[in-house]
Amino acid sequence: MSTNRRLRTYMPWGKNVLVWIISLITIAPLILIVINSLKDSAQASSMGMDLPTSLHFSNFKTVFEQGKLAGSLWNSVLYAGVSTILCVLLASMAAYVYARRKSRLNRFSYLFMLLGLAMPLNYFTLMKMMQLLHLVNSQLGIIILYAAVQIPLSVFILYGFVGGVPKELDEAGIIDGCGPIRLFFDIIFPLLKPAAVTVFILAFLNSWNEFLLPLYFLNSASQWPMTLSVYNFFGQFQMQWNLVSADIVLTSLPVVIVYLLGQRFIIAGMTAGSVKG
Amino acid sequence: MRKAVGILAAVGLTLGLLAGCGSSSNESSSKEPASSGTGTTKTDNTQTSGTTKQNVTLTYMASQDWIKDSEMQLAKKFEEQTGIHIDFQIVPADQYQNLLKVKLNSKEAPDIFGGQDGKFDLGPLYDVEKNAVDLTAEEWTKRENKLFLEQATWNDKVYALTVWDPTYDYYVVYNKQIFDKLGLKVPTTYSEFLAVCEAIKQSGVTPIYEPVSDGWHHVLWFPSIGPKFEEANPGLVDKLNNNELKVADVPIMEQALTQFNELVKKGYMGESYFSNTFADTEKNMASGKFAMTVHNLGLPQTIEAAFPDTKADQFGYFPIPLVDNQLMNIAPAAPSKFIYSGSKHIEEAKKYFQFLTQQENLQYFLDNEPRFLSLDFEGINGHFTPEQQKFFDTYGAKQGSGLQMTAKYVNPQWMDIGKDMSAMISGAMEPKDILKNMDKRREEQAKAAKDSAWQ
Amino acid sequence: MNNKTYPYYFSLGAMLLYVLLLVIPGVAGIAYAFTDWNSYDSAVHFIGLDNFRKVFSGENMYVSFIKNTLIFTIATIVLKTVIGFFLALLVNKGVRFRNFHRAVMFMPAVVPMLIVGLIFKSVLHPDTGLLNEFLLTIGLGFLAQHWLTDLNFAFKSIIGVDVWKGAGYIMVILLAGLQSIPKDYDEAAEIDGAGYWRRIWNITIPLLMPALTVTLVLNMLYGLKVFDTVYVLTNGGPGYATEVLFTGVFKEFSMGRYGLGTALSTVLFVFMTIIGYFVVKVMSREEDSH
Repeated sequence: MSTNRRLRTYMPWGKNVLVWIISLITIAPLILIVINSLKDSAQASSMGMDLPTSLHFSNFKTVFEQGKLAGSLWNSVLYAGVSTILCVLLASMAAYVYARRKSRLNRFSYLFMLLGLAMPLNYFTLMKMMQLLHLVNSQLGIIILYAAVQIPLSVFILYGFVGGVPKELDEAGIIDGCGPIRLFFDIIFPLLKPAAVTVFILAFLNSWNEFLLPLYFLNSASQWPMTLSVYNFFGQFQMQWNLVSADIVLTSLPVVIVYLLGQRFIIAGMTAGSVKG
Repeated sequence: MRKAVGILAAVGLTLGLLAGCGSSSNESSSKEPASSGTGTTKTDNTQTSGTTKQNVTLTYMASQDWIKDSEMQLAKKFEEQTGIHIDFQIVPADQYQNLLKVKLNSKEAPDIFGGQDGKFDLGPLYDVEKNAVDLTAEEWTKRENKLFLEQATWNDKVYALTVWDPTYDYYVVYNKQIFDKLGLKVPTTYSEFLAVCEAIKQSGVTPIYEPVSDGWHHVLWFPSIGPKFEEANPGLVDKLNNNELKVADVPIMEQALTQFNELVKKGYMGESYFSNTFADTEKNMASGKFAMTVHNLGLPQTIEAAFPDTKADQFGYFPIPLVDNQLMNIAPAAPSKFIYSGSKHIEEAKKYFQFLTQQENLQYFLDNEPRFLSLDFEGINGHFTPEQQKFFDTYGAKQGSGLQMTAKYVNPQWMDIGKDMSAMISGAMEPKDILKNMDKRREEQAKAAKDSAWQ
Repeated sequence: MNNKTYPYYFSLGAMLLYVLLLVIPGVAGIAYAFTDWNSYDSAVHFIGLDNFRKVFSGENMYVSFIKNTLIFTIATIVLKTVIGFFLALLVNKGVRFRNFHRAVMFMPAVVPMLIVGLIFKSVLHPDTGLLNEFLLTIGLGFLAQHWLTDLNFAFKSIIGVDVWKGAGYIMVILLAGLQSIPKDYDEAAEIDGAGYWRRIWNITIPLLMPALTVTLVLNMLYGLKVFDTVYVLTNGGPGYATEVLFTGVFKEFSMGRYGLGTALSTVLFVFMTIIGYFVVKVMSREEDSH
């Protein structure tokens, strides 16, 4: 018994040290970028771990102005944000129905949708389809395409989680007189929040880093998202690792912020609380 | 009732989005508001009198590194004068060919597209007769270097504008200080080269900086000495292009690869050649730890720009000396600009080309592009340093082009040759195998292209 | 009651987008696998199974590409799942600055692969790289390697970098799974006197099964389709030692042999579909037995 108690007292301490070590290992290569984003171009040319001789915060300003990041930042937020909301909404509705009622049609639909996880993209035929739907060279078109691409993965992840929400809640809701729409949006969806937020974060991340779709389906640099601007930037400043690093920092930051904001909504024990309450 | 609402929520939303954006799509960037400086209309119009301001945006897509900074500045001037805005779209090099193919195929190509020209490639790669505008009648074609023009011509018509440096090819750049200190002379044969490398290695300096990790650079050692191959076997290129000869049956080519392998094996390229990167060339050459590298003539200038302590004039040049090569290779095929035949703004695009090729603009382009020494147009003043001038005086009398420009189906397999050469220096392949693979890939491509010589 | 409570039209929006923008273009694209479509000829001809014959004939080293792909897939599944699971346990509770650590561990997933390649090419450089310098400093210089260019280490290094980048992603999914496990189960078991690891094994893992299956399938699909990591770190080198299937596909495409490239990716698609089918089958059987 005493070992158990000792474990209990020391465990958190040991755990904390361990977590710090892992975090440091994880972040070391990333610190490299931050350090280099503050150097001048000669010092940054070797991308070394040495500290900057003097701090050049002006790199960030240069990047923001030269890289025309303001416009593409807005584009990225728009494309990734709207498409992810659309995707999470449609995917959670679909996953909910597929997981709750396992009719032959629903089972088939679910498996059919999983095929999308492995389906190879073909830009030639996709271009034809996009033209047919009048979605080429339009911002709405790219948003819809982003959402479509993320749907199979999102349905797949959400499907696994819907099972965790007790079916008794549905029955209680029906007894209370809810229709299917109110049942889903008022009762089920709030309980799916941890999963929905996870899917949101992952889909947002994928959309944010999407690179080839805008390249193929947007025909104007003013509509390009951050990822492509970064490339434009590489082309112009490929020797200047300090600017490239600053650009990377600015590009990665928004997704980290989304993650930090998002995880506050993954609140522990929601289901348990609801069952008890 | 509820069901109807639900359908509205799920399907209707989607359909609504689909329908809603129909109107905004498909009207290419032409109606994009040109955010040009409107205040300066009068003052700049002196040169192009008679032109009225147009509110037009030209889309211009090119691979990384093809559009120089100085061209972007010229484009700004062009916009001030004409109101025509150029929307530059720079695409990663490894995606470019596929992307261009998709866009040409689906008739979504930009008004101007970049492409590596080459007299064998214009038809097969870009289908210029269908996709590009005939530029033969343009005035600037008369001023362009004939060798370059030939590479932009298909069936007697000019399809592309090339503004590039004719001396932009690869040679050995060497550190004169190291050579002087060790009392070494510029080698003129392969055996002299070996002796030079050995002496440098003995002194504790790595003789050659070779960035194999980029995949393309170490290939330069081989096709660049094409003029020497041709000199040793007159008519070689014609025979290769008529499929009367295989590269595997050309002894001097095998010898060149064997010698490259020998340089690596003897440690003349150090230990870390597989990890070295092209982008680090300046740093390493400035450090004095390496004596030579294969690079453009502009390297010493970019070294000095990045590391002011190392002066440009301490470097000299000589041709790649494998198989006793002493001939100067030049590269007339280069990134070029095409006008898309389906563009709504062909006249504006032509105007842009005319603007770029005005004498003072060409000069401006050259003066502001540190990597270029001269241009492929008449009457442009080059910027040769004494060292570069000396190089031209010594080797310039006998010129020729690398194998990738003269022989068909070599350039497209550049990276594959690179892989094979890496396999050779890691011991997994013999020089002869590399040549056999080259023949195999040439045959595959020729057949795919329905080349009559291979049927 | 089922029909009315869980109406099929809920799923129509997702299905519509999916069919229009993924299935139809994807299936139509697969048709090209049976043609000689290439960049040097504007006409496309039907050539039956010729492309598939070429893939399986063994002359283009695709067999070794397939082997590498499988090794990569299995290694990353095991490593990412195990590491991701422990990371999730670690930062789930009982740690200070939880949010900070979670964000840090997730961060590698955020950085574009291109950049990761850039960083690790520098970190793993044999002469100037951080890793070898670190090993030298702590007196373990004999462990220093040519990480990305030595035939014995190149592929292991690729796997290592990929795990570094992907473990945080897996952690996020598993963390969400952990969070939705009702606390009462764990508390009840603790009162019964079950130790920490026993509770993990008997309670946490079984309840985490849906999330674990999700990560298994994701890791598997990712592993079989792996491209970026290899491309940016070694581009398949030295020689062809680290080539995987999708670098092969990419090579065919960049050579302009679209027909053959499509055939190769079709083979992979069929393969993934078969494996995926069995995994989902097994998974849903388990679920039903619960």
